[in-house]
Amino acid sequence: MIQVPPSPFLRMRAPFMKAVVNRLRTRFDYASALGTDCSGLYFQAATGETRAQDSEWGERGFVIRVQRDGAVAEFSFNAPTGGSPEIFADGLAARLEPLLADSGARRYPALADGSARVSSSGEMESDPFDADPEGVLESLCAIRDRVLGSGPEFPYARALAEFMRVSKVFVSPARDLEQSFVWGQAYIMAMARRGEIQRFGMETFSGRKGTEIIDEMNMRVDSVVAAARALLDAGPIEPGEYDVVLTPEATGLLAHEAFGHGVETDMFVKNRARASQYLGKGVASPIVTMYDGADGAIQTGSFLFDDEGTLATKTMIIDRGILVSGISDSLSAMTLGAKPTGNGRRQDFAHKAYARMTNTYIAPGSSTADEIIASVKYGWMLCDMDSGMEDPKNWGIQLVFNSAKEIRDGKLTGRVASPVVCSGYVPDVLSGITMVSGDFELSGTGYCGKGYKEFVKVSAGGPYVRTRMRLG
Amino acid sequence: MMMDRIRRALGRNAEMADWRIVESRRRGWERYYIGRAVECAREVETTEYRVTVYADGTRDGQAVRGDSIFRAHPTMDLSELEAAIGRALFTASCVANKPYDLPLPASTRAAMPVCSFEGGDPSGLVERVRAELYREDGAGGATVNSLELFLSRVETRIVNSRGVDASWVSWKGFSEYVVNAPSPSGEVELYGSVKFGDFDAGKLSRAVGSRLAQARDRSRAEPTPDARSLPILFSEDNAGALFGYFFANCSAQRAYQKLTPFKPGASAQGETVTGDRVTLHAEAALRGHPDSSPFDDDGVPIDRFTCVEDGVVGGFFGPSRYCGYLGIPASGDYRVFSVDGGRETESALRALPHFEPVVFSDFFVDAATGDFGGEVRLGYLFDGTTRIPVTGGSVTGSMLDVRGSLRFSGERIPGGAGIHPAVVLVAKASVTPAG
Repeated sequence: MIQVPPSPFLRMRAPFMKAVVNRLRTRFDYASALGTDCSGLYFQAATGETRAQDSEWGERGFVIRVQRDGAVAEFSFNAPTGGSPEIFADGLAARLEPLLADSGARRYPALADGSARVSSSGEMESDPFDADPEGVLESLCAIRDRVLGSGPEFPYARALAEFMRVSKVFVSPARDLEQSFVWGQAYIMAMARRGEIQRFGMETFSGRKGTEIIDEMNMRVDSVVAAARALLDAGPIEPGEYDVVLTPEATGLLAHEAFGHGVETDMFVKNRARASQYLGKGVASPIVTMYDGADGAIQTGSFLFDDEGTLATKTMIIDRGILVSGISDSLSAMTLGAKPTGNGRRQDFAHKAYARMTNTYIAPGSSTADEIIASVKYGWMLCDMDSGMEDPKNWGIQLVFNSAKEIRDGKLTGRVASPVVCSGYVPDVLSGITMVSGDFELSGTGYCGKGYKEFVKVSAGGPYVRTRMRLG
Repeated sequence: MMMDRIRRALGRNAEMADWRIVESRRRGWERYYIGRAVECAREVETTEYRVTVYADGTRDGQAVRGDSIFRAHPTMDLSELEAAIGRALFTASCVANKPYDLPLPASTRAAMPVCSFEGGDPSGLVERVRAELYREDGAGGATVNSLELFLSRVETRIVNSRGVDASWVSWKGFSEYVVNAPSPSGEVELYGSVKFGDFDAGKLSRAVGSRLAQARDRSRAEPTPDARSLPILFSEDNAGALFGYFFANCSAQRAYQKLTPFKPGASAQGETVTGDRVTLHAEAALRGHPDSSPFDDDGVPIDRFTCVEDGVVGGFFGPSRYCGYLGIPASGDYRVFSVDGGRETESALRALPHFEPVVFSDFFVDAATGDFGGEVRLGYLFDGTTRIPVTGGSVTGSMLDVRGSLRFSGERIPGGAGIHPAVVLVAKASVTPAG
């Protein structure tokens, strides 16, 4: 395995920023700095063109957070400029002072600054940043061309692979944290066309992975083509309530959208989450246990410390049907008198930190996937997640899937519906879970928004589950 | 100056065919409120450079061009910058696309509409916007639960190796808000957002005010019943999203990649058009719209371009690269559009029995498949006499099925996508009742 090197840029500037926050600490009750240096590579072979360039996820900069008399303010910038740390800190203070001057500002409990000193370098099997770009593109072109060569009904194909090297430092008077790691993700998309009908098949790949991810892609080309072809005959679903089987990917979307957002504790502070009234109470079937945590799995939502300098944890959210904990950023945790769970995350250094998910999943159970499908008299298996949206206050659900496969008398019939919008009431859906398989898969190609913005990398997944939902 | 350092470093690479630099300087002011209290105040001051390098070569005897984009951080020293350029140039040489030319300097001039934010005191501007957003707070018992306010001044400059040097200033405003209303079974909430590129007091207060009124309606809403026999009336940004299907499918890049079913000169609305015929223009600068831009990403000045006229695809728009691939004149690329009004009035369309889903969880329109839909958080059922609020269930449909029978209002509204008819009546869509 190859160690991911730390960022020389951050290593060089961390001592300066340490001196800056020490100086700021003399004028504020709390001061810290997060520094980021994240760079990535994006390779794509699509119909008619190829691309190789920096990833859109790249960033390099700093954010300073200060607190005085409970009020919190932040300033984001590219890098310290000119002069000594003391002069730079005084300039920052002049920018931050007016932001704290609002007499109507919310007063939080004092931010903690417990001592910690950690440094972590992730590992990777193959370094995508040392890979020959031409070789990566040739591999992706070969995948694209396999799709396009599958028949005249495939005018469009896209194979892409993206790799991010994430490096961050967090410094405060008492903390010195440093982490570097790599994640990778890849997609194969195939569009089938018949007349004006256009349908997509897609497979995704992700993890703490380098270019070995392309080997996984090669094994799934045929299934993407088959899925797209089958979707050409897909029709709408007759609106109604059905028994449904969720694939691990669909289970992850349910866990993330239906419940994960509702236990982000900044929603508790805003009185936006109905879940806050259900702590210690039943919210799901007794066979449901759910977790979130950057330290709970090794996927794209994993890290050593969050963007507020809190070390990552693994949080049990639902314990055999009982809601036991939320996931928190530091401000909401302190407001609620709880310990931060290491879920304070930013889209990048220029964005605010919120309570966010990391790796979110439902724990495996005791059934098999075949047993679950065989148990359904009539229903649908939901596949190929497209999107979802939370409704933590009113516990509504929107989950959109690219396809659903019909189940009749315990067998898949081959009939496919697309697209499928799932709606329902969260406690009904979670309480309606009657079977959970022993499988466990996480998918980390998703991006999570807070509302409709503030995107962060997450993974979600779990086993196959059976429940009831309204489909349309 | 970083721009000059990048240009000098690029100029030292003889094997580089061309280059382009996009500089973006942003100053941003952010306020996060819980109720009316500031939860956090933030400022952002960043500069970003996106540099594209181009390499020409041959593959199998054919001329090819490759490009690669990298971010030049203002904190890069000369050796780091030169290394980044070297890597990007090597990467570009591995990319083999059909050759294309970068645009040359244009003789026409382009400018942004004058923005009233320019020259104002930032904290004063933020306060003016905040005051308008909160103007209707508390009306009828509905309140703002939380609100986020973002205001940025962005200076953009685009230069390339062929002499293009375009620059402009834009203001980008955005607010998202969550509103509550009491109900017998507890509070209900609705999410809303508004984009703005200039100060418009009425627009800001109406945006939040209408959501507050809708939250009150949601608090007394009944579960959405079986409404499959009714046409669907789309309004607000949902109406704009439907027209976004036509805009997206007129993209030269999508045409080159064979992603669009549209063909120039052919109907964009299918073989039989029984409703209003769509006329859609790609627009450069719409007053007050934050995505307005007098230039595209190549620094080419852009002006109104009619994509669809009377339901017929007029042409594809796009940057010189994709237009060149298609053998059509380069129009430049666009971010916003306008749609001409239809034949009927909004009140005439609203007088018909219909189901109007106003607030979705996340309304989607897929430009490639034509699928649209979403879960309904608030809708209204109108039977010709009575209008009642409903909640829950979902709507799904396909633009392929409805595009020929769209009926839309003559009245137009500014929205997130541009300017478009206020309401669109869709005859055929599937409604899943609430449980």
